[in-house]
Amino acid sequence: MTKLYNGAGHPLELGSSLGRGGEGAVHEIAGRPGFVAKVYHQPLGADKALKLDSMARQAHPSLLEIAAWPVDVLRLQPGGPTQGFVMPRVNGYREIHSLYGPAHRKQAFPQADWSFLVHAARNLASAFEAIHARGHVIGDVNPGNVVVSSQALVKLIDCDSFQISAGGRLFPCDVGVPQFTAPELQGQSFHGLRRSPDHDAFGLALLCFHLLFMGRHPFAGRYQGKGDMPIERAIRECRFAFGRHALTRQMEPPPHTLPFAVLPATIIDLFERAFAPPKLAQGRPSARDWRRALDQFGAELRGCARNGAHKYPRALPECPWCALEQASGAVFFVLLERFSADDPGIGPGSFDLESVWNPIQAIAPPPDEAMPTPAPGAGVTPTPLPNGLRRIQRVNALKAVAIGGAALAATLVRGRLVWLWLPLAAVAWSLLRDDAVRREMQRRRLALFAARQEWVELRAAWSQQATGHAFAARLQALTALRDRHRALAAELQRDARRIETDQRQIQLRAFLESHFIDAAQIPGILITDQMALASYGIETAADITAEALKTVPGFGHRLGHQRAAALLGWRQALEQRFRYDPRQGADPAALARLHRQYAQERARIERELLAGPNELTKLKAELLKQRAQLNIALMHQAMREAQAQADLRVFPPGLDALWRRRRG
Amino acid sequence: MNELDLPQQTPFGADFSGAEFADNPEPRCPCVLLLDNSWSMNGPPITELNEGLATFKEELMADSLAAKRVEIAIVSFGPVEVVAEFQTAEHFTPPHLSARKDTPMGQAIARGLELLAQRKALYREHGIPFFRPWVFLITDGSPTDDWQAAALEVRKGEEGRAFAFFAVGVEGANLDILQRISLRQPLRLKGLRFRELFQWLSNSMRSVSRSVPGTEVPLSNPATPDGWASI
Repeated sequence: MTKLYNGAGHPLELGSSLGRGGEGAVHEIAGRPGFVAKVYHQPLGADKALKLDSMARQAHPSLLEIAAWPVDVLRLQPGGPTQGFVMPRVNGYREIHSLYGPAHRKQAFPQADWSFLVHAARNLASAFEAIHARGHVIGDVNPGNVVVSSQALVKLIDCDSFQISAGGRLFPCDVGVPQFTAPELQGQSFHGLRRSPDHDAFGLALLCFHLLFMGRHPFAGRYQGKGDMPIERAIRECRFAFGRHALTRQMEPPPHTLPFAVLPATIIDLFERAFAPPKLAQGRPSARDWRRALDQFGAELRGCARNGAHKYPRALPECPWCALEQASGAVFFVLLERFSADDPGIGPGSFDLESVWNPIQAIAPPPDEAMPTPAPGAGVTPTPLPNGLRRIQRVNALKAVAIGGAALAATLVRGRLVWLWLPLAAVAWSLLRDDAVRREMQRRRLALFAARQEWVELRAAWSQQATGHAFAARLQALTALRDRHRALAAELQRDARRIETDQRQIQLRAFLESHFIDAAQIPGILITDQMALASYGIETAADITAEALKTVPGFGHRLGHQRAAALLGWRQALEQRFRYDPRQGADPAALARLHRQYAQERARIERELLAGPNELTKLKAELLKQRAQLNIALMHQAMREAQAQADLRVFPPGLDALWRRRRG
Repeated sequence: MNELDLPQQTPFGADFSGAEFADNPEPRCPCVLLLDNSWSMNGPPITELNEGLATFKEELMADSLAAKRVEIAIVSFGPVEVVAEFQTAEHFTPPHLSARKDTPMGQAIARGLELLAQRKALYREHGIPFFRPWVFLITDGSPTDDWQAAALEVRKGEEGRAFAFFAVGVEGANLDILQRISLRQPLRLKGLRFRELFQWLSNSMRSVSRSVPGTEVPLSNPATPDGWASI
């Protein structure tokens, strides 16, 4: 383990190596997890050593927060030449290009939408502002020196190249990347070049543009002139491809890029001023200008109604991303809707299944209740027959006695003719009696019948509306929803895994499809065989299956057996050689669709569960109300039935009445 | 007949060819591999070459920026065939080559340069900056077709800095002809060190892809005692 000494002469022990570059290596420091040591391969020259020393002495909390700023120097021996420095460790950050490039972003920052990018640009501007506030200049602004966290926090790395002013002395930044260098500095040697915050402002505007325009360089457009237009030349000649003067400078934005005009006027103005010819611009927008404008811009964004991953300025009539994605066929943002790639978990903070389920469970199901049989109550008095009818009844009785007496007498006198007397008596009775009484009795019998019919209907109503069925059924449905909600996470994971398996299948298929039979040397397969196969659509290894081969003449039967085996063997050998590349990963759009689908289902279930307690309470109240109403109806029915029965009792009990009573 | 009166075909539907550049607008670093799969490569050489191609992809994938920037196209010759169209390393699937017929090197070079020209036109069309392309020829024989015209094209391209052309000869290659095609010193592969060759190539492409378009990148010399090549 290597031992080094810090500026004060205290020993430091280096831990494992974190990375190695052209000029040095970065190591962990034993016992100081928040810091790392950069150790150069060669001892530093006096100038560079002095620069690092003054940087360490100028280390300020505001700088340590946004940059891997040197906090101490490292020497091989106390007092010896400087060999490295200590800086805060930058952990969990990714290079900014993995955020602004759409393809990479969908993997590295799947949750990042345009407002995330605007926010990252805002944080980038505030980092520049902090450096400038301390009187320093970044100098070598380029995407390799900026890293971003999953919260859109930005840090600047490779700070030892910054231009530092310390105690009246200026330590220049000797490096630079022409693609990110201001026009007035193009073509100049970076060595010893004195730079200003205004030069940084050009690089800042470039990086902001990359963030807002899906990784496009503002000076990389379609050049209308002849030959190539390298970016350095486009910068030197101020050919901003998106700006209002682009056409006069023979530039056009590349196809499938966000139209510049969708930006609010303030941001357009900042870009125009940052990329204008230096003489006209009268100073580029400062880091502070950018931070303020981007803050405001971020607050003015709204979500698209059709695709929640799309964010755009509130002032626009419609979503520019929808149009752009439709026209280009590219997908710039994926919708993960509260899901993150690592946690396909289902319970987002606001919905806690248990606390939603408890009130549902707390509602006691209504008690079972048999249909009551109310007592008819005392005081049922039979309705007497009207006087007229009673007289008719009496007359009828006399007639009956008379006819009966006559028939009896006749039988006694002429006993042998009894078969004649009885029918005669019946005919005489039917001719002589008054039917009014019989009709009244029929009416009262119908009343009883109606009352009993009503009871049957009430019983049906009770079993339908007054039992706990509806409540129990709803509770059961809610329980099923709860179980489904619990299982959603696992199901989502299973489906996501299936997409990944599909991915393997897709890759394997593509691999097999790239192997043509006619390009392979398969023993026993002649050109004529190849032609025969091709005419049956079997051209690549992917097409070879036992079933498919059976249909090809000359391959299905005994003779073709060997050739078919050779082909299948070839395919098998290829399959064995196939290597799945998990880094290609599953299609983020397919995954996003899946997540969206599950999110919708989960939202639906949550809505129903949340409505559950209310629904059950209503069902229960409804049930009790129904029972009360049916109870009253049953009492009325019982009274009516009792009355109808009593009314029938005023008639002398006939044979039919006896029969009815037994049944009742 | 007036040229304007000629019937013209129009493509159907929207053109999504730009989606790959919208998705990934990083500057591109194109690399054309011209690979000899003539019959004389049969056996271990072709196996090692295939392994080397797989290594090439793996090495490039280890560098997230190179994976987005380096684009690979492969033309195999014996006969001439475009085995892989230009694709970024991320999407490149190493092909499996098998030894076949003759060595039409001249045609292969012409086809490779044609692919390159088309690709560059597409870059310009979509506003994608690009690095100086590399054309990498690997052969184990001598051309069986007319290579003079191709040699002229290579010379013109190198002088106009349109691309850099490298030639590597496997055991049995005619280095004299390679020397007359390539402006740079052709290299002789030691044994069958294809894997080392592709490691070197991916390292070089990685440093080029992390540089700035239009600047010269110092390459490590492959012809050291430990390297994969000799002169």
